[in-house]
Formats: sequence, structure tokens, C-alpha cells
Amino acid sequence: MASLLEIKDLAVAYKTGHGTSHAVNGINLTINNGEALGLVGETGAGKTTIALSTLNLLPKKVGHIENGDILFKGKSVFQMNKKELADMRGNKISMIFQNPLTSLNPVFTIGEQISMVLRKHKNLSKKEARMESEELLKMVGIAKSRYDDYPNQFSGGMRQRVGIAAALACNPELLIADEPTTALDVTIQAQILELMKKLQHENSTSLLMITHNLGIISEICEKVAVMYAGCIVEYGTVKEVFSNPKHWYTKGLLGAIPKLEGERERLTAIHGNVANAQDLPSGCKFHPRCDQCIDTCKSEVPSLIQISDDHYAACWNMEVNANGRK
Amino acid sequence: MATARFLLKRLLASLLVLFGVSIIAFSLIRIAPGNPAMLMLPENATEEQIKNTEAKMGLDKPVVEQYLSYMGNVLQGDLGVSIFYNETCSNLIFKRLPATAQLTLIAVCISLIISIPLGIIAGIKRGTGVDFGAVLFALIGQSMSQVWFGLLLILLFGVTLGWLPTQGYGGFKNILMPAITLGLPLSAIVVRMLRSDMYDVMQEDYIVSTYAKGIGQWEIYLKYALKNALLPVITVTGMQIGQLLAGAIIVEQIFGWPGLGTLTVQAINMRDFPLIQSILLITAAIFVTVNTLVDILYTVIDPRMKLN
Repeated sequence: MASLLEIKDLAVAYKTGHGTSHAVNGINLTINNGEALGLVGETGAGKTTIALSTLNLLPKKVGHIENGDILFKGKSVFQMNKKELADMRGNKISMIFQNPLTSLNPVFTIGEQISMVLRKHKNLSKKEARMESEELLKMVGIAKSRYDDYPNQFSGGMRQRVGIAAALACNPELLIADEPTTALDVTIQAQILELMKKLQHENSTSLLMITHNLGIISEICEKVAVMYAGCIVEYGTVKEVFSNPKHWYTKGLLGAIPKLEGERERLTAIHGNVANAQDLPSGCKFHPRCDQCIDTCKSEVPSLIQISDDHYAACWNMEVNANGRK
Repeated sequence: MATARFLLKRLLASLLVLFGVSIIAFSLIRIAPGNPAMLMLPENATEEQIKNTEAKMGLDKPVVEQYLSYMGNVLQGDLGVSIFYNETCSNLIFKRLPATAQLTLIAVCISLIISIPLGIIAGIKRGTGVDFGAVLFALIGQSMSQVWFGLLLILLFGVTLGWLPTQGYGGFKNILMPAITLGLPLSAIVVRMLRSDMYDVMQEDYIVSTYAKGIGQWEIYLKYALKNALLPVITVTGMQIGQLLAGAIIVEQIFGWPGLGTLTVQAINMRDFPLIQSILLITAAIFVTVNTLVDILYTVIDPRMKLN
């Protein structure tokens, strides 16, 4: 499989008057054609920053690429000129945003917000774009008669489906879904996921699914990368990572999910708070919260070590068993 | 249907407002010192002559009775006869109204033509020289007195450079300075509001998502962001119409513009009770009408607003 998107050593910092936040600190990721990669992590782990960097959409003057590169089909998105960027965004790479309530323009009809993508990238006339947009609305389960309605006339779930329709309008090669279901209630979540799964299979679109919901990852993705404080701490196939987690953070995340079958166990919680991106700990970023922390963890940054064919983890102390004894 | 109901509601509310205005106008004039009868007669007029004139004008009757008979006439479409001009008030007002309407309209146009682009650019280029200039302009425009600004214009363009006529009614050259003077506070407010609204809108999620669709920068500025940022500007412009009508009184005096403003000042100087009342009533009616129009316009642009 050829790689569609390559993120190389990416480091991103936000500089404001209050200081510098190191949101992403040296990330390597590859997404192949047709592959679905999940990116999990707590709020503030740098997931959305990766998504925005991929589209070269970091907030001006504040977001800085400190190091590394992102290659889309071998071409750096940071080297692209305005025209190339505009041609890529919404056409080859499109994005579904986290909050459907704020990501649609309140004073334009939802039809306009879908058809503007088609007019831009497919050079369709207003009438053609309208017809195609109506088809897209039908595909996501919204009656085409609602083309001329405004976002405030729709529920959150329907607005997210509008966002999905707009994102899929040009059959993108890569779809970035930034927590597409976080703002929605569970029944709607299921509908949206079903829809995305179906569409992804039908169009063989590559997918970068950003979420903090592990259930969604196992539902949709083949591979998963676990992020903590701007670093990838574990990476591999979903099956491997979820059944045989190596990093203590991943173990903590999985331990916090109640089981439906088997013996009931006490849920474990990861103590402490997410690392402050303005003042990151030395060594392994997770060490202040880790129960298995050893001296090396405090001073040296662990790198990703290959565990099996499709499984990597970055931990100095992963050889201990679940009871914490060597 | 909704529109009809809205208009009916607004009409009733407007009538209530105008009723209030009529009471306030009527009583204020009578509380203020000065007697029109005395002003009309020569200085050495006798007590009796003054009494006679007052009786002729109906000023000897109780105030409540005066008001009721005045309102009775107003409701029949009769605004009364000016004491000083000896002509019907409606005639006087509608002869002067076009000049003021023209001045106000051109003032709004000029100030929006200047302030909208300036506000947009200042909003998207925040922190640059253009932005600083815009903020300075807004500061000066809002704090400088129109009298002073008008005189400065006259001094520069009328006297020193000799490009524009300093007084009088006529062509485009005549209207330029009064319109700029009148529109100055409005343009300052619009620049200030549009600058901050444009900046805020550009930070919104829906703008990032529009960028993510590959839409070009200027299309986003001028179409997808501007429509949001303009909404408060429309409201403010509507409300400023009252300010403009008030400003016209001063500006018309400075530039000798034969509009409603000049008429108002003359009426007040002569204690021309019927004329003052009528001017206030008509001006209030214009203000209320313009605001209703702005509300309707608002619902056309912002789909979240419903007429009710």
C-alpha cells in the first residue's frame, strides 16, 4: 500500500502573550490509501492540532510549526502555495469538525454550505451544484426539500450530517474526522458512525478518526495511535493494541472502561491531570501520573519500540506485569 | 401572515410612542420660558394687547384644553398653523423635509462607503498600521464635536483651498461638507463595531471550516464572514438615524442648509408652539418608521431572527 499522508517529526507550538504551549512534540504517522487510523487521547493531547496542521490551517501568528513536515502524496503541505492549498482543502482532504453547532455558518443555508464546495472544486454551476447537493443530503438522510433551510432549523445530529455531506461532496482521498460525535447524544452517535463506516467503505476513502472514545476506534479503524501530551505513546493495529496494551497510559485508558461480560472488576482511574502543555515534564511526559514510573522515566524521553509486526510503544518500563511486579 | 401581524403590532406600539412624544413636546415647550405673544408684538406693547393676542392664539385657555384641541386636530391630519410664518405647519415641514432627507441620506451613504471597507480591513489586519489608523479615526470621529469639525472643514476646503462652497443649498459640491460632518459620528461607530465584529467572526469555527473547504481568503472575508459581521452594524445604523436627525439641526445651521434643522431652530427662537410640536412629532414618526424598516431588513439577512 502506498502512503497517502506522512507526518514526519511534527512539532507544533502555540505562542501567545501568556507563554508557549507545546501542543505536538515530534509525531510520526502514516496513513495508507484506504486505511482508517484512529487517534486517541485526552482533551489537550494535540489531536486537533494534528488535524489542523494537516490542512495547514493553524491559527495565524499563534500556531507555529517548530519542526518536521506533513507530506500529502509526497508533497509538503507547508510548502504549498495558496492555490495548491485551496485545491487540496475540501477536495482531496476534507474535514468533519468537532462541534456541529458552531461549524456551520448561521446566516447561510445548509444547501449553500454544501454546494459552495462543489462550485469551488468541480466548477459546477449554481444549478448543477444544487442538484448534486440535494443528492448528498439524501445520502446522509436529510430530505432534499430542506436545502434552503438554515442551520438553526436543524438538530445537532442533522447539522453534523450536513457537515459530513459537505466533507464528502468531492470524494476526498482523505477524510479527517475530528471528534465527529462528541457533541452528539449516544443514539445519534451510533447513526453518524454507521453512516461514516458505510460511506468510507463505499468510496474507499482513507480516514483519520480523532476521538477520545475507544469504542469508536474499535468500531471503525484498523490502526490506532494513542497520544499523550503531544507524543504518540503507543501505535499499532486496533486488535493488537486493545487486546495487548503495552504503555501504562493505554492500559489506564482501557482499564477505565466497564466490561459487559465476565467477572466484574473495579475500574481503574488514571490519577492526576493532563500534562500542562506550557510546562511539560521532563523525560516521559506521562511519568508524573504513572504508577510504574522508574528513575529513567523522569530524565529520558522513551522512543517507540517495536513490539511485534504491527505494534509499537514508547515506555521504559513495559515489561512489568499487571500487578506491578517484575 | 407573520409579517402582517408584526407590522400591526409595530404600528400600535409606534402610535403609543408618538402619543408619548406629543405629550412631552407639548409640555416641554410650555414649561420653557418665553411667550410667543410677546415676541410677535412690538417691545412697547401694552398688557392688554398681549392678552388679546394670547386669546387669539388660544393661549389663555387651560393647558389640558389646549392639548386636547391640538390632538383633536392632529388626529384629523391638521398639524395647526405656524404662529410666526402664518402658514400651515405641514406645509412648512414638507417643504423643508426633502433637503434634510437628502442631507441625511448622503451622510449615511458617505459614512458607510468610508467606514465599511475601513472596518473590514482593520478587522482582518488587526495590529497593523491600517488598524491603528482606523482606531484613531474612530476615536477622533466619536469624540470630536460636529460644530468644531464642520468649522475645520469650512476653514480648510472652503477658505484656504477654496474648493467647496461654505454655505447654501444646491449641487453635489454644496452637500459634500455638511454630509461628511453629519456622517462623522456614524462612520466612527461603524468602523469600531465592524472592526471588532469582523475580528471575532474570523475566529469562529464556521470560518475555519470554510477555509477547510478550500474557499479563497477574500471570498471568505467579503461573503461568508462579512454577512455575519454586518448584522450589528445594521442595527446601529438604524438607531443612529435619530442621532443624525438631531445632528442635522446643528449641521444645517453651520452650513446654512435650508432643511428641517434650520426650521427647528427658527421655530424655537420664535417660540412658535404649533411648529415646534409638529416638527418633533414628524421627526419621531420618521425615526420610528426607519427603525421598523431596519427590524424588517434584519430578519431578511439573519434567518435566526423571526418577526415577533
